Amino acid sequence: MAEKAVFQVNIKKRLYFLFAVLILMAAALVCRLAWIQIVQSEHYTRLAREQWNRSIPSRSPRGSIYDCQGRLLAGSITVDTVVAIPPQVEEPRETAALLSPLLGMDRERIYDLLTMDRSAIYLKRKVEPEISQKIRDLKLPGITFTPEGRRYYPGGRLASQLLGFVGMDQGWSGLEIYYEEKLKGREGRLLFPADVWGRQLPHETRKYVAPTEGMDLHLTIDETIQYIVERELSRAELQFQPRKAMAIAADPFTGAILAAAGIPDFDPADYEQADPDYWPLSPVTDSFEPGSTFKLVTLAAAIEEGLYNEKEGFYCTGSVNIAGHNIGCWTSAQGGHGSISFLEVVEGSCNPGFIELGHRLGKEKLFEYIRAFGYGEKTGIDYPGESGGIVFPLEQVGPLELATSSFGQGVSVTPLQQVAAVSAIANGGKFMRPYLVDEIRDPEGEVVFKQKPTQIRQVISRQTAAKVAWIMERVTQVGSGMNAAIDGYRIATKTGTAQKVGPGGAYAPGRYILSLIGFVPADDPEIVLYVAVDEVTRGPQWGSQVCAPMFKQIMQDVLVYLKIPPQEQPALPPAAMIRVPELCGLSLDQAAAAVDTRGLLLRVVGSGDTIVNQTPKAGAEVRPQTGVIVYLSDRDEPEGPEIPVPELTGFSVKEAGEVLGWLGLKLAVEGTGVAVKQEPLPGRRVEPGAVITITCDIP
Amino acid sequence: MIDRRLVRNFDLRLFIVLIILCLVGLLTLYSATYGLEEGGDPLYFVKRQALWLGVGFAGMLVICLIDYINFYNWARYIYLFGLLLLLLVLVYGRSSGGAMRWIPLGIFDLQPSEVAKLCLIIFLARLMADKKEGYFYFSELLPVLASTALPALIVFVQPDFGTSLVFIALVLAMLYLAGARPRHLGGLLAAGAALTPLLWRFMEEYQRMRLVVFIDPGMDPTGSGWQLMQSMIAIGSGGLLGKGFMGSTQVRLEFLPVHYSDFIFSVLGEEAGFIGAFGLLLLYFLLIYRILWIGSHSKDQFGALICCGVATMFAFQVLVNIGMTISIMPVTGIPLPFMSYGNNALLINLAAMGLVFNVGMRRHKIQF
Repeated sequence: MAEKAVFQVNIKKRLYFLFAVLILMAAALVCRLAWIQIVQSEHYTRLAREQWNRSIPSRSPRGSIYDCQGRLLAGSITVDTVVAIPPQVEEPRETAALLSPLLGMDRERIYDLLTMDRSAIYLKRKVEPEISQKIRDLKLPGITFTPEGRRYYPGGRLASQLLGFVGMDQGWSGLEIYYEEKLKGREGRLLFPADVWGRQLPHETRKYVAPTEGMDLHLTIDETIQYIVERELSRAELQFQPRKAMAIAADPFTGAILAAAGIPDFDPADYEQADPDYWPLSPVTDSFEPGSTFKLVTLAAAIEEGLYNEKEGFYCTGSVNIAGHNIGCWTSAQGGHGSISFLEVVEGSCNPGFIELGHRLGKEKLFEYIRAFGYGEKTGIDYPGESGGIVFPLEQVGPLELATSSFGQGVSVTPLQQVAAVSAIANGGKFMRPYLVDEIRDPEGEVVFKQKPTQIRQVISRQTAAKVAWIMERVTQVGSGMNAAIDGYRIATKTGTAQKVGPGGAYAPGRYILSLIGFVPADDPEIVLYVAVDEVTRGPQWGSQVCAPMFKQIMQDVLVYLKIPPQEQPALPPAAMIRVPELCGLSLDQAAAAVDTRGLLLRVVGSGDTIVNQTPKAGAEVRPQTGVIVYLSDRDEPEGPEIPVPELTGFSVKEAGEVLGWLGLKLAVEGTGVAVKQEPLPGRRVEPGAVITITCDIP
Repeated sequence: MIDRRLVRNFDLRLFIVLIILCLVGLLTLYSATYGLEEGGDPLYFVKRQALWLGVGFAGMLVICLIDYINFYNWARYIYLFGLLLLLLVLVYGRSSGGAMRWIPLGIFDLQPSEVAKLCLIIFLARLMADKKEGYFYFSELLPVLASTALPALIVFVQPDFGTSLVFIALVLAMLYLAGARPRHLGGLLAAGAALTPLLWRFMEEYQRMRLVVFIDPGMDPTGSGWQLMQSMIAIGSGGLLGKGFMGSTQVRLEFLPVHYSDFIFSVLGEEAGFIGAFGLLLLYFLLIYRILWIGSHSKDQFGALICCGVATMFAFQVLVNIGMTISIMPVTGIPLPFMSYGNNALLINLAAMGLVFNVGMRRHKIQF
């Protein structure tokens, strides 16, 4: 009995324990259920819906891109994408065999796709219309089509960096990616509930959600101006063989960009072949030291602050010592500008003169103006990857930084920033935000967005702006901008030659970015244009020699296109005849300095250190902007009977004839225009009297 | 003919819970299977289940009439009968889905592992009840363990890993109640855990996959993982209130495999939501609680141990089956008592309930 009692207590206790285990188990199940059914319910509901709602995407046609005149720059055509719905394919082997030749795909590969455990799968994206028609005619079960847009660019490479390109599904660069959301539209879908096998349920209806078309962009770009600019860039590429060249043009009163391009560019239809380095629009995304074009900021600031008197005298010794550093003028080899007026400081782009102006302004004022002109921050243009450049923070500015900044060294700016800043000079002192898209229109053509010109700030007074413009005009008349002059037009320009910073942070010898910025007409500007050439490998490394002719070529055609008549007032001085200086015995650099402000263009033939011949000869009287062909040679080169063939690409027929006649060689010409090819190739040695054939074309 | 006291002591509450459970099971089965067999009788599954329910309830009442002391007396033969069936299935079984589990009997296929569960409970109850004094010595454990290990091993090689686990669970619970020392049981559990890697070697590939998938459901998203994922989607998308009777899209669109048997809970979870699932768990809880209550009020240890064994069998199966559908247990082929479609399990479970009622009806040794 006693044992029994013990056992009873024992079994009760143990029952309680088992009961506790039971409750624990129940609690675990309830907690887990609550987690799945209450907390995570939405997640599983979505999974459930996803797996029974099958859909095939139907992409919308992408919006088009037009220039400011409504000319198509980028458009889309609708092509078919071949889709397989594997559960509905009846004979995968046969189907694969039939499709293989049409799609140009491996039979096994198609078979794998057709038998894949998927509700729908792309067989081939964006096939040619005739191919898709042939496939349609086969009426294969389980093979269907969805329309997709394929991008095409009527202008080919025209404005390729600006527009960007489109990959299979979306924009990858340029405006195509910046305005992706607007251009893309909304994807439509073909929806149908399906069971686990992907079979369409018999009683369920298909639902088609139509895609929304993308919107159209109407740019500020003018296709014609863009074409002229790119043509000149190509010509410069041929003639100077630079690493890069770029140009950007704007309407100074609105900030609307009229043209922007860089070379090398790429073909958007074949973007995969292009170097991704050439995808971005270099005038917007590249920043570098501006050189002398930046002096306009110092000049404008000094005038605005009343610190500049054009008649005041200045003496340039060729260099100036700032905080223990010797800063040279570009004329230092000839002993400096000597005694000049402050007007001549600008005309001759004298560095010590500008250092003086910077000194007078002081660092606070100068940097205030630099920032007011928009340097050191992004302009906010509607293009991806804009660079903001670099300007010294004020606390880092010592006497040396102040000095170099006043003539454009030690700052880093983009061509776009320079165009925006010079626009403020051209338009009477208003800094306008530059922009590329003028209007966005919906598929019905209704304007849904209109860009209004935005004035950021008044940088300088109208009077100061007019004064700077007048001085810039003088630069074109008597200074380094002479080669940019166009008969009958008042043109304001400023050249720049900036030494590039090498990998170590020091200036790299012989590597320059040559540039020129200007606007036309000087008194009532229509267009501001900036051109730059990076690392010229042929010919003189001077902005006046390289960029001024480019500027002139572009402007000449643009002025005709924009129907801007030549001005009569004030009467321009009749083009004076220029005496050609003696260049033989000089180095190329010295020769360039010698012709820089005379309005002559150097054309270089041969290679070497010294000019051994020239035409026209010294003392000849020629019109401004005449080419002077100089022949370079190594002085100690042995004189052999064989003559090295000069490089003639970029030369006109007349120039080529002159050079060859002078070397005792004969010329044969194919085509007209500028030499683009030659035979034999440059550098080959030929007998005197040999025939050099050039193929000409209009670039 | 029937003693009045027996009728008065028939546990009506437990009976009502059981009836409700069976009806819920039938309704869920209806929802899960109605019209899904193309061209066949839309009520094929429901009709058969209802038929076996009737047979089962009749059997249950018959068992109630036989004083359970008789089962005590026959325990050895009952055990041997179970073993014999298990051996028979090895030589004369019908294989299905990689396992030899059935003996075809014409009207239905007999599943000896189900029968063996109940046989083992009765035999173990007698073994333990015969040992009168307090705690178990280790040597006294051995016959109990050996008589469990034998059928468990046969079931394991069928292979039916899940059911062999049920054997182990119920022997442990019954031993504990009968007075085994906790440290002995702890030692047994530890030994079992140590043997697990060995077990792995004897497993079929699909069983291993189930375990792997339990640990990492992403491993086999189209095979075992698929089942699990679809079950989770069904239950999870049911939410708090469920999608309503016949509203299971997972079933209607055939995403949920074997939804009428092992995964019937997923259907209930989707259609009745958390409220419904909780309600079902509550029913099971009441059922097991009441069985244990009867056990604690039984007149002898044999009756108490039978109730404990039956309760453990149900509790363990509910835990493993529902746990499997919500991914806290690996996938095993254990059906959900009174819910899953399947005549063997239904008959045996109702027979087990018969034993419990039996014990409850004869709980008063001396009265009046």
